Amino acid sequence: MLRGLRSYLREARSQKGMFLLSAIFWIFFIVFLIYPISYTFYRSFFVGGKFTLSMYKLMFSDSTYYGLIINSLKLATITTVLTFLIGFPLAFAMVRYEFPLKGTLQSLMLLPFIVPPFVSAIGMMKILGTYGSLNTLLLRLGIIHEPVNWLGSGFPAIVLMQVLHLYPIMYLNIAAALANIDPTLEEAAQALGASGLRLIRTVVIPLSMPGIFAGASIVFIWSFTDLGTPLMFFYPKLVSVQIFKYSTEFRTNVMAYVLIVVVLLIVTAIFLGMKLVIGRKSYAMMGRGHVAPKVRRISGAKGWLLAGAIVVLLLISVLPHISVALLAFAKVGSWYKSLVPTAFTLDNFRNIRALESTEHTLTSIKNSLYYSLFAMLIDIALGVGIAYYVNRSRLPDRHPIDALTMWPLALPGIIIAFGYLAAFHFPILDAWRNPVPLLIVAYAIRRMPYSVRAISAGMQQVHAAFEEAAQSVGAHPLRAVKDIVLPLIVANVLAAGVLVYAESMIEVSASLILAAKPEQFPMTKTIYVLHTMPQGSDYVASAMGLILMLVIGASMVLSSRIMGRRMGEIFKV
Amino acid sequence: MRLRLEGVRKFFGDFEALKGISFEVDHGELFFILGPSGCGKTTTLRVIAGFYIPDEGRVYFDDRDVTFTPPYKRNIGMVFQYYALWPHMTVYDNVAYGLKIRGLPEREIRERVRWALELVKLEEHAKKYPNQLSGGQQQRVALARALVVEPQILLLDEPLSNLDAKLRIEMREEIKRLQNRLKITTVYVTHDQMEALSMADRIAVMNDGLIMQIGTPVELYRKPRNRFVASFIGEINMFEGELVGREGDFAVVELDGNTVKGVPTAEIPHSRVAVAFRPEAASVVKEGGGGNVLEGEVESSMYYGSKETVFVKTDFGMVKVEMFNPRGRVARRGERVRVVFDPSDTIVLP
Repeated sequence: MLRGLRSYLREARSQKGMFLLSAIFWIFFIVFLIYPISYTFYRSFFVGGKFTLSMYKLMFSDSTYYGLIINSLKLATITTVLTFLIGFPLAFAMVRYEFPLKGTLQSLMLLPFIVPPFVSAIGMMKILGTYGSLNTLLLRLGIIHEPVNWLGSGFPAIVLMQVLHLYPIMYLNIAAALANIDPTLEEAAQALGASGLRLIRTVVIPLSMPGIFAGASIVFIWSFTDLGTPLMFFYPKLVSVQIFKYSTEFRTNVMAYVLIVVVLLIVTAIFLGMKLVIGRKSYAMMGRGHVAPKVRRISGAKGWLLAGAIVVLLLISVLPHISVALLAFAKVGSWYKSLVPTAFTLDNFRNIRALESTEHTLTSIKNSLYYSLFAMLIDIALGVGIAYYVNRSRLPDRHPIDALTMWPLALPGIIIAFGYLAAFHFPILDAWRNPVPLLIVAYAIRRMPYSVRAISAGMQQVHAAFEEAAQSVGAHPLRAVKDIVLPLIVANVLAAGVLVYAESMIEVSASLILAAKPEQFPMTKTIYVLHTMPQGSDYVASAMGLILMLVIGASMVLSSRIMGRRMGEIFKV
Repeated sequence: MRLRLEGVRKFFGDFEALKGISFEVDHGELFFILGPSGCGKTTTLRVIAGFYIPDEGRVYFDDRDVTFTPPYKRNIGMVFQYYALWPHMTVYDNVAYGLKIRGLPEREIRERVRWALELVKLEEHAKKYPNQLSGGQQQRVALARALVVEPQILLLDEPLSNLDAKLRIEMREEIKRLQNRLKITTVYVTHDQMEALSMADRIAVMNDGLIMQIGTPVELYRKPRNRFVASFIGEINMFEGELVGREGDFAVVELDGNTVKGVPTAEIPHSRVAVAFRPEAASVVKEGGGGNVLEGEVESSMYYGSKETVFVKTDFGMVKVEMFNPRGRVARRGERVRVVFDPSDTIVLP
């Protein structure tokens, strides 16, 4: 013990730079992660300085409260099951079969995941609305005689938007698991007489469980805590929406804290459960790498049919985005009882400027560009620092630091944002008076895991001996990092930066909860505000949405160019 | 520059990698650290380089205590096992880097890089990137990069382990030639005993975090002081026996009824001893023979032209004998023979 401590002190002494880095990380994590979350817990248990469980009792006895949780769980469950039903066959087809257009389709697979349903919901409403494209089409074809309310209460629409957005994540995780299955295991089952669906049910699905669980938990948590989509469909009966509503009364409303703690516990349980299952189920695969995965060729009509089905799926998933693009160029009121807009114009873009005086539309674009830039810089600094620390340090806290870095994967945006709003009332960090710094940090914290992963992937390629060689010929460790490490990981740093930038531009929950004054709004909040305004504002909102989509699309193309095949890795658990 | 380590201990968590290492390397000496993998030889080298700070003990360069001096202030040159050439720099830039760090004027850098590249015969390849070079060439660049800064101490960590056998032998001579010419104090870590025997001025044999013996190649081969060194370096026949007395410089050992004599190489604290002799120090005869004699039956015999290798089964184990320049087949399978070896070629170990 004493020897261990002495050894640690010696180590800290020989790695002074590491020691300093570690101190910076700990301060950052304590201030921006541990403190706000702990504060939220504290507020839910202590009313007027006294410990009480009364608010929890109230929550679990009043159906208006626990009903929200149940409804949100219902939404997440339905979404998860549906994404699995799309994602599994899709992954199976992509991994096991060779068919026309496969390469192209594979590279387009992430497309629906790029833009959040928050923006494309406006487009979906124009398609599924009472006077939208679908009803127009069906009426014209004589299939229906009265317009149908496809959006219903909003709940089915939310499910649809979430499924169309999230099935690529399910696909990605299952495909990775399927690719890792040793084909000889299946051959063994076939030799014993299993085939077709039975083979899939008894061998393939159990063996791909790690991937299924990983994908399912991401989708479930995402759907369960999604704020943007329900808000756009004006659907209130979800816990995320309720927390958003409570965010204006965070000082007095204790129920908000209780709801957050319950959500956090559910999400954490799912995340840890998934980790446990994956840890236990990662079966040792014998002979991996020796036997090439079996890819069967489907040619002719059958192959084209499969390709066609995937094309249709992709088309349906980008339909809302296309619709947003159309709306952005449509004359106000021209998409009404018609298949597509009947008149096109650039007015909506001009109106972005015209609305500046009342809605700060231009300012919001500028704000988003700036906030994302700072979030990107923070994440690059953290990403380089943490990736370096975790890969190089011999100090014993690199595992806790690694774990804390990945925590935001299981920390919904609404919880971080509400935690900041409630916990920071200090002279320098005041969420009420000036939320901008906290908004930027919230953006950065939420995308930190991706940034660290992207940069870590590069760090792992840079052997420690590269730096030691530089030190041995006289370079100070910092100089060695600058001259040797940074040039070798610059591609990963760029990719991480672009990714964080794009993801910050489209961040919804922290933007909606933290930004209070219109002149501080980022684009997403302005789009939401425009969406809640009377007819016509949706067209301007779409024009802004299109700008967002273009920025994000360009960023994604850029970062996947830089990262190549490793791009998908970043979005896995 | 003289190098001295005093009682160096190093822990990794609970694992004691170095259990008290002391030795001294003379100015201009080519000093080897030899041992099996995991014995602590690379850890020792990294302590000398400054990448590890020992938990106990001291490191001196001449009389300067450098125990806590960071690597970049030690003025060392180091060649890594996988060369660690920077892939984003040309050969020239790799070699020039240490000089740029030192802020030398551009002209001097150019001259010294040219000198270093000529030294390793790579002046033609200055503009290439490491991945355009063969393994042997990369090795030479690593050497040039370490030498160009005129280090006080050159450290080599298994520098030849990634080369093919032929190239390895060529590089042995080359490194030896360079070291001789530059008269630079050098510590060379390897697990390859032939490398150590053929190149070293002196060798430290390590095992399990301890130095087992330090000596010249001849001393280590002829007079190993313990069983580990005896069996680690070269081949040896070794048998347990009982010390029964002394005859002048020789110890008399009882080996299952046979009495043999040998030279003790270390203090012998108890009567349980090992008797050891090299295969090439013995010969097989049908009858007669003086000195030490062991009787047995030929298990197998192989003829290689330059030598004949005979395995003889005795009452206490198999004996290997190598006879050089054989004029004909000496022994055939199943024959009763006598293995004879001189007491002065026999060692007795505690």
